[in-house]
Amino acid sequence: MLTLLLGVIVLLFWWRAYPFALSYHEQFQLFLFEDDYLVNRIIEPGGVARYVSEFLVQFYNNVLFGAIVIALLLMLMQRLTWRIIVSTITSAEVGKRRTQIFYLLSFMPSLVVWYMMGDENLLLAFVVALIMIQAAMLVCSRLSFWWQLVLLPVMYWVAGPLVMLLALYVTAMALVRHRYMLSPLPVLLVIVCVILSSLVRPYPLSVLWCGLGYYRYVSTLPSLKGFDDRTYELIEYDYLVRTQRWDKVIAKAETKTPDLPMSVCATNLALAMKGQLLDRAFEFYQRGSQGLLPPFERNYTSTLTTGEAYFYLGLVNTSQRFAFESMEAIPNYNKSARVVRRLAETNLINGDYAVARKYLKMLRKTLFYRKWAMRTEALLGNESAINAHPLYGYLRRARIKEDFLYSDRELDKICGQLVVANKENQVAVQYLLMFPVLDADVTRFMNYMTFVSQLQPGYMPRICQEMVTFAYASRRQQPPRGTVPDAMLQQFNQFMQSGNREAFRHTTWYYLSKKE
Amino acid sequence: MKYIASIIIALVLLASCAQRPTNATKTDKFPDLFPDYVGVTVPAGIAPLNFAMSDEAFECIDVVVRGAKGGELHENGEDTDFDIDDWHELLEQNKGSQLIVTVCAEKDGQWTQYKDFIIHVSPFALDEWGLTYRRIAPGYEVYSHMGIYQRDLSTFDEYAIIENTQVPGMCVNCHTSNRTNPDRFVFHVRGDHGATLAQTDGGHREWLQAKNDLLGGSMVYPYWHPSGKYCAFSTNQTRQGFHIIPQGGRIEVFDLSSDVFVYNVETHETIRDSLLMTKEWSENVPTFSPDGRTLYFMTCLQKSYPLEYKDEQYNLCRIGFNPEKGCFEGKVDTLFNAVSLGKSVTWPRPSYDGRYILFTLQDYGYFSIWHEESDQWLLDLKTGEARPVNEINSPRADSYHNWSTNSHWVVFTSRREDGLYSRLYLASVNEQGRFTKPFLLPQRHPCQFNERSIYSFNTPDFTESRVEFDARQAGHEILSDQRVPTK
Repeated sequence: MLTLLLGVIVLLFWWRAYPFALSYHEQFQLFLFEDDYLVNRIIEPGGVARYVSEFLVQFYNNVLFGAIVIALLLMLMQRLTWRIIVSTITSAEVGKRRTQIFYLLSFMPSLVVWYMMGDENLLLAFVVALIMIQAAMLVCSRLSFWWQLVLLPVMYWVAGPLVMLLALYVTAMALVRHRYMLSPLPVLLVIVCVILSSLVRPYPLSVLWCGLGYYRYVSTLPSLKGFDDRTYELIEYDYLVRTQRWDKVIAKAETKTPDLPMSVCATNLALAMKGQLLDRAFEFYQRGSQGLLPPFERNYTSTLTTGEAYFYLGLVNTSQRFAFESMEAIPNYNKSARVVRRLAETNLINGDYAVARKYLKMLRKTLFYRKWAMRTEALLGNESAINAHPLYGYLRRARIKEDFLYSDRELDKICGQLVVANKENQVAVQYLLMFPVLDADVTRFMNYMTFVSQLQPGYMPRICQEMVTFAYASRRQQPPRGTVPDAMLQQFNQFMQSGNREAFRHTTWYYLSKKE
Repeated sequence: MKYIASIIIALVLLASCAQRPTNATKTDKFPDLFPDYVGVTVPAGIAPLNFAMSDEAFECIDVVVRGAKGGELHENGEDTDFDIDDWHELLEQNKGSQLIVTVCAEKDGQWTQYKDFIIHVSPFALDEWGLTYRRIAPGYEVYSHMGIYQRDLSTFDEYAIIENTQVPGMCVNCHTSNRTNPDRFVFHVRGDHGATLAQTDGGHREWLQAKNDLLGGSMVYPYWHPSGKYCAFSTNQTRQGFHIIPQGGRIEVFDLSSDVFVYNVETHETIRDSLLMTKEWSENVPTFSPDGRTLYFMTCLQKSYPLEYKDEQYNLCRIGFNPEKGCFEGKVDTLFNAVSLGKSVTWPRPSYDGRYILFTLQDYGYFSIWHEESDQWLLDLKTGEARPVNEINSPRADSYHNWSTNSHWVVFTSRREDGLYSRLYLASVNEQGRFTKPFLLPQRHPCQFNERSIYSFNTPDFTESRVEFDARQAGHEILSDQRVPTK
């Protein structure tokens, strides 16, 4: 009954409280139903555990399924722990009261592992390997010492270096049976197995000792890092961007203002997608123009979010680069289903159908992307269908007409080119105007504003009004009549005369004064 | 180990069509195959040229291969999977002759018999054991799993020489042997433990300092002197740019500066010359002539990059080299003026018989894999004439070529299949410098391999025999950071 309770709590925890954590794990692997994938996994020590875990992690694509998977694994771990305790110590020896204590203790491994799973880089293979080792312990209790020794190398190859726990268990059993001379053998055997595996597999010993599939960074040991709020905040932002839940991004930012490049970028993107960037940007913390499109970093997380911003801006080539780079940066050499899907899309939009087909064929071998891949495959080479597609067709129309090299120092000009290419690209219009605002460059803003006003007469969101007011005021002039509402001019006068500017902290003027 | 596992799984999953053609409709068209082996020329010892119909809708293929001088093979299934020994026997029997291939394919229960096609078995031997190449995803700046590999040309076996898993975070590139000699080679390690490996006879390894103040940068594009005493390098300040729209391509590579020098393997000295280390010009990609008395390289007037990246155009030049004295001689000559054609030369590779230089020509720049227009050109050193090698060129990027030691075979990379993933092609050359239709490096199941491979193959070269290299020990040495300084 308690086991079931554990399962229900675990399920609710991952399903309701941390669904984005499941999506995070799922996006950094590409489980393929093909023999090569299986072979590439099982030729590594611990590869079976890794294969099984990656099979399970694909179900994280649906967060409820993912939560069920984790709940079942932790329940299984508790049951196995209890079985091991029962097989080791009989109730007759310890009495009923102590049995109850031991029963409660059997939950400890599951609870500790649950906490360890808070580390976003701990992989499910660690949990699966642990369960496999527990199962092997149960088997071992029925085997002779020599058969136990035979089992150790097998389990090393199946579950990885966690087999050391099994070796210690076998050692303990040998000691209990007074086989003192033989007791070091299991541990020595595991050491030999790890050393031998370094001769046949292309990994240094340090990596093999840490386990190839336990942790995303291959030469790092899993630890008790637990749940880090800041990390999960970013993961949730990325999840919401991935699933295009723009309102939820904004709602999350309203609850706690984002202050890291990745979360600021996600918030600004969501505001732009809802057409609110130039009205509400200063309701949230801003970090300068780098908060719009953070510079490229060689990592696999923030690059994904930035790549999304480029995608919706209409810079498909740049979005493709960021997607590709984030996949290449995954530390355990995995591929990413999310990225492969995005690459299929960018290549489709770019008309690189042969490459798009390659990615779609890969996705056809997955469980959760198969249907999408088959639907999208029908678009290959079908120009009219792609052009009529609400997203792909739009992104084609949004494309800049003349080629030049990307420069992260001229992102505003690139946005300008996007606006020239398609004046209906409202995301680009907002980014174009927001760049000089965040750079506190009033002259540049006024130039861009003039340009945008020609394309979209009367376009004057709140931040633009504030900037125009500020620009004229700095020249000791009034904006032309009708450009800015009188109320705005009055508000600006109040700001200038106010001793407490904090009351205006959601205005452009406050941001500019802070920048100065 | 991987092969054992593959075999077990293949046996478990083995399910092939076993129908034989009945009531086949004849057509006068050649079959549309992947890979396109219609009319190709192969060396006698090559691995079986397995293929399948390009159109996945075909359920079964029935293939009969008859040797003009005798011998026959029959295959039936989703694709062909010729027995390696039987294939070799057939090719040996028909060396200098041809194989006639009859293909019948079944779609929707209906068999079609295609027009027979020929596979020529070259009279020229390909004496090398195999190929070496780097396998890496065609990315931008970040790299995941990659490495330098070797492949037995007579089978499908591939072996890693070194992979970056050996030292996490490491990148390896430019594996270059001396005239296909597997004992003497260089390659670079990039990353926190950067170095240039120079392995000489007897497996003696030296890890050279990645950078040298005298050179102002790292050792980059290498080429061995035939004596093995020297190795020419370029040193480059390379930058990348990224095109904003697909029409421009993906990546642009340009050098803020580059120079050429020769490294003396025995003394660790660099032989530098002001003619090859100019400020106004970028000298790049040096190669020695087979007699070791000429150094070929390419040079380009330095422009302001990235602004004028389209003006980065290289000519092919040469300068004398005295191996006895270890110095350059004479003046720099322009061998092929690509700039006057509005083009740019890259990757010059002299044939080992000294007759030709095979190079790549593109609109500008020198990093040919990202230039769709890049094509192979052949310069006849006897006549001074150069021509595009249309026999092997494709509309997509064709680049990174190397010669076999008898100068009758070339290996090169091409993106002709999909425009992004580089694959390896081989072609033969006759005495008149005419090339045969290139063929894709054979795989046991080429369609499957092509579909699943997420890597580009680059900088391929032939290797006389298998490269023996202790990657594990090399990993320790790389991590040790003990480096030999160059002078």
